[in-house]
Amino acid sequence: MADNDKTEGSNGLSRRRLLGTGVAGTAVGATMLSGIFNASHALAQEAATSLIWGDAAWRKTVTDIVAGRTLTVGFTGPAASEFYDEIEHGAFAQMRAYSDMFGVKWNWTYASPQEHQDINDQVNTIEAWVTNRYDAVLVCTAGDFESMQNVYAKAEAAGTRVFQFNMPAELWPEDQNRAISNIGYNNTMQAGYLAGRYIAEKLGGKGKMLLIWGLPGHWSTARRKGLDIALAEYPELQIVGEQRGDYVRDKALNAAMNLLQRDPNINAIYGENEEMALGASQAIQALGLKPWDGTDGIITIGADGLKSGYESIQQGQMTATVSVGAVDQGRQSIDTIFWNLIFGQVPPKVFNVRTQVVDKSNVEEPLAYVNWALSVPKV
Amino acid sequence: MASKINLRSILRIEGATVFFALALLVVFSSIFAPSFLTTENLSNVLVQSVFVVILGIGITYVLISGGIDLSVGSVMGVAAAICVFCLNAGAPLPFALLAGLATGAAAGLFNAYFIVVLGFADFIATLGTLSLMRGVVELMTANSRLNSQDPGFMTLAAGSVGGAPLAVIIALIVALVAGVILARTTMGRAVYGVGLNPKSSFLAGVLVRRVRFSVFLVSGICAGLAGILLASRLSSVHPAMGTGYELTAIAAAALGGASLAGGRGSVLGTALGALFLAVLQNTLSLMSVNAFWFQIITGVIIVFAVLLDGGIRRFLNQRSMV
Repeated sequence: MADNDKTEGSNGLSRRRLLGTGVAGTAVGATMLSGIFNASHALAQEAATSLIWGDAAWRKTVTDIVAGRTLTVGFTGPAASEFYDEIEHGAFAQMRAYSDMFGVKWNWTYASPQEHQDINDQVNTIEAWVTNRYDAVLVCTAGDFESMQNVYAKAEAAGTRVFQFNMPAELWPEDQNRAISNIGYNNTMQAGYLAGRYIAEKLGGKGKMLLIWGLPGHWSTARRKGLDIALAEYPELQIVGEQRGDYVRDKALNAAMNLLQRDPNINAIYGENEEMALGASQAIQALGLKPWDGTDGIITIGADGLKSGYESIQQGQMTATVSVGAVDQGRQSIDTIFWNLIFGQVPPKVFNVRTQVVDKSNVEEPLAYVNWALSVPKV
Repeated sequence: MASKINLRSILRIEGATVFFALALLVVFSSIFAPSFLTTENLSNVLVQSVFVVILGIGITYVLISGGIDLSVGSVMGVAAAICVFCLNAGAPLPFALLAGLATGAAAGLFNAYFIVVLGFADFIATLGTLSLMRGVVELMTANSRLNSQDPGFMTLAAGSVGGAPLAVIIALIVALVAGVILARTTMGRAVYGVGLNPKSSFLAGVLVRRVRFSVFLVSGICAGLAGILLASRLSSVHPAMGTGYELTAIAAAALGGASLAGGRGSVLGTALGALFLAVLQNTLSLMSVNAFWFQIITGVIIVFAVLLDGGIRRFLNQRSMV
């Protein structure tokens, strides 16, 4: 028994010791590992920041000037949608990056009007933000600069700086433009024109096409202009039908169905935004027609660069889209606000981000980029 | 006993429920949104409410008479477009304003003709006008923008008289005139009579058709005025201007105690209802409430306010039966 006890005791002891060593060992291992990890992480960060963008001294200078300040920013678009969500996530990514690098804090508010494109609702919201003395407001509106100028004047007087995003700034003379900067893209040449060129090149400049338009307003005006410029070079590429889809999928689906039933012998459909191009793709499927396979079928092309659009392209439903740099618009907006608000740096009145026609041949990178942005948590 | 009788008589006053709801909301807002009670913000809220107040007053006339007018949002847009179009064509300001108001009146008469003379259901007829007028606004604004920087025109919404915003004063005058007509004149009482019981009103000598005609005219003129003021505030007219405002105006009237079945409602109640909605929106914005919760909270509060009104009404009816 005693032996047994002893054995058990020693066994127990050895077990305990083993356990102890195990725990200690794990702890040491973990410390070492995390040490290595931290070191390599820091090294990577140092390398990245010193080789690509600034060094520790510059970062410290910026951080000291920022002094942990909180920037309060209001963000309002014309409607709640996947597109504006992507822009917002681009902004989240940049805000987080600057928080990590420079210790700036962000107080971010999102608002969209209850009714699609209700400008007065947006004016009301901005007035409330100005009352609360926000540092900056980021506005995208269906209204033009004239409709916003009263509230922008109020904002200026109260010290709230106005920035606009995703507006076709090319439609207005710069001196009428009260915003400090417009972060967006040229709707005429960087969206409508590109879509027209894509269709013309794929069809060899010949064929019949349908157009589905969003709500009347400056976006459709600008994209139409670009499309017309592109099509002017191809007289044999004809527009045989147009209808409204009001930027939503169900209306565009109906519009495309009706147009295709009248004449199924169509080579391309341009949806002014991606929701509508997706609706047109669904109409092609529903009617048993053939989507574009690279040589034959009906081309559908939209504009936005949505995750759901890229996935549709991968699945061979929608042919192509013009990515209008939603994520970059969000990132650039924050970049502009940060350097303007804290350092007084003057941004260009119009800052256009890169856009790109995306189809099956090049969809991987834009999709991965959007996936990254959408994975960034809210601020 | 005396206090109970007082409570009953207070609750009987038109718009009492929505007044208490508004008072409660103001207290809440002052506590949770520190900048709510600033002069700047209060002036903002009042101006923000003006459009729905004026639109709602017109709607209230129609609702009391037992009808409905869904076209007012689009009529706002057309009246605004015509007014700014005239200004840009070089017309003097008073003429442009009159043209806008006349557009509203014409739209009202158009509705009235189909409903009263041709006997169409008002829901369908005004829905038709809603679509038709929206098309006109879009035709007028889609490709060529309608803007006006006319200083006189911009004063309507941005100016002030003795510290009070001009738009608010205009709304007050409209409310006063419309309220007195509705509550104190034969024509006004006839609107209630037609809404409660058109047949007995007819037998009592009320010109039912004329009353129904005039409520749509009033609604059209109010929509015209609201549109002109909104165009002045935005110094432009855009294709979607006024979209959805008909429902907000109906909600304001319902909050103010108007019945969709007719025979009940008041100008004061509707004005307070519109103010309630504006203060609610303003408070949620000041508090930076998440945009989606914003909508949910607005919906829940509207439903509760209407429930409260219904509950109080039942309570009053029970008491009066005793």
